[in-house]
Amino acid sequence: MFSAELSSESPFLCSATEVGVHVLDRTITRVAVIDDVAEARAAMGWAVVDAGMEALPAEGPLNDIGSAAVDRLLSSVDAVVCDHHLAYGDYAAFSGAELVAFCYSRGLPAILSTQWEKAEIEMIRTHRAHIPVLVNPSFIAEPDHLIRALLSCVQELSGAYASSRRPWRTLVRVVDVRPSSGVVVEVPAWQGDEMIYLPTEAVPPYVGEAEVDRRFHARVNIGAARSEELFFLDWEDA
Amino acid sequence: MTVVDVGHGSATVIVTDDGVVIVDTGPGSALLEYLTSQQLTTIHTVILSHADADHIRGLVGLLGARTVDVQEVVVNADSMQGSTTWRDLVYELDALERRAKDGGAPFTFTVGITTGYRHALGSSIELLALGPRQRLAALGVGNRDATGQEIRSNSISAVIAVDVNGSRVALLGGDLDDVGLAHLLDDASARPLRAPFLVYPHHGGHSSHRSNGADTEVFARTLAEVVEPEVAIFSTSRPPAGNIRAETVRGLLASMPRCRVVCTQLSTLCAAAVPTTAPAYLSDAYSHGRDNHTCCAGTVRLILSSGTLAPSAADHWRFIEAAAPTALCRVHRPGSAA
Repeated sequence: MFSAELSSESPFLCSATEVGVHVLDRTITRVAVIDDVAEARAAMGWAVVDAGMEALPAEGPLNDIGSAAVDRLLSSVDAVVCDHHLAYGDYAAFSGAELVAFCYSRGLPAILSTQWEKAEIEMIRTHRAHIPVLVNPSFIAEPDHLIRALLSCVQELSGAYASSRRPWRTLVRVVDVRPSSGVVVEVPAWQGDEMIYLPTEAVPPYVGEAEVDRRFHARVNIGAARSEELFFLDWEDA
Repeated sequence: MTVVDVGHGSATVIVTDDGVVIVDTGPGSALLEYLTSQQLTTIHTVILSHADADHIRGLVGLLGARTVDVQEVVVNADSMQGSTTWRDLVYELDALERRAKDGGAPFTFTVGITTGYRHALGSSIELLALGPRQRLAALGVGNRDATGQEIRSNSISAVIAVDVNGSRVALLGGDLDDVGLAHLLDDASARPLRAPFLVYPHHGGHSSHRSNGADTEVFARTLAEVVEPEVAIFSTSRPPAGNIRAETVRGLLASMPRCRVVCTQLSTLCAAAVPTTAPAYLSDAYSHGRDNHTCCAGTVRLILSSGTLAPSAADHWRFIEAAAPTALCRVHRPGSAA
């Protein structure tokens, strides 16, 4: 019997039968492990087992995100742990960020586990609104951390946003324009001082073509601690 | 009256049957989260003590979110602040005012707070500005006062007294600095300054731009001598955003050894590592440090009519003894063996 109290604030005691963990109103028994490197798949699989669940390492190729193989995989598990870079050996034709966002749309808890957050920030930010948890692989090697991460996913999927993830309508100001490339914006309500680069394809045309000091509103998770966590939804052309 | 744990910043929310008033709005979404957790959707008045980002960012968020109806904003203008955050706030204020004039929800904003500003909440509660004195505000940031001291943004930070049935209950210090304090002490119209509850200025940080520990200790002693607080509340956070100064606590307790020190978050000077769990006394009200276990008192709630403070002294002290045995409030209390 495996049991772990996630936090003193959490009213939810996670418990398990022989295999599986109860997280809120869900029982997570099988977890798909998606990584284009076999050794990394195996290591994460062990982390899943250590946490009291069954690991299902996904052998490639997974092809397209809408393929039957992916559908079969996702339909047979209760959660997913996924690396971001999946292109090695033609393992998959999609990124981990895309897959986690796809899982979000299906209501399936999915963790993006990657060391590439800063290097791939623009690509990941495009999907960040639908990536409840993004962690370094070494972090979720700890069973308690993995379960906490799954709890965060399940909570958000049930509508209970963490303050760092809740999007609020807020002012966004253009501070620099890089023609045909993107814009740099500032979010004045956010607690940080960093400027955020948004590629053209990540914003509506009227934002991408805006002049410096132009202001818009968008829904942004202004409670985020780090700039990498910020995402932008529902832009408004004032 | 609630001093919300907003991280590094300040936000005080006063709720009565006659309306809600907020003094300063902290950074990020913390104030929005708090108001949502308390189901507060109408704010009669928001008062901004000065233009520092950690006091005004939350208002930019509040106005943009449109989940809360704000009817009036009173700002202590400081155009010398020059921050883009300030200009963004003015943009949002101006937009709301134009919408109101076009038939939208009523909204007004007023520029200028000096000694004499009053705001009544029903018949029993009154907020009064004890500073900045008009002379100081008239000179403005960048000029020098009659003694040659440079006037900075924090010098003209508004100091707000909260009176209940004519008795002074609390003093909200904003980011008052040593120049501002000198003028406060010099201005007879600011009397009395005595108040049992003090929201300490500038999050317990340095009292002047010189970042001098000795000055900070003198400031704390002097302020404590004139306010004589029974409880000093610090809206603070852990680094890198902020940290309460040891000199502040030392000076405060030297003047008022029995003053209870209440910090919203746990300083690294008090505890090098965060506890594994959050304090059990945290209420359902939002505390920014809850998830990361950086709360000390967390969001602090004062019943103005009775002077009852939550968390209780006993509960809070038990937590400090267990989680932060070398806390500044223990170490610097005269006669302490810690």
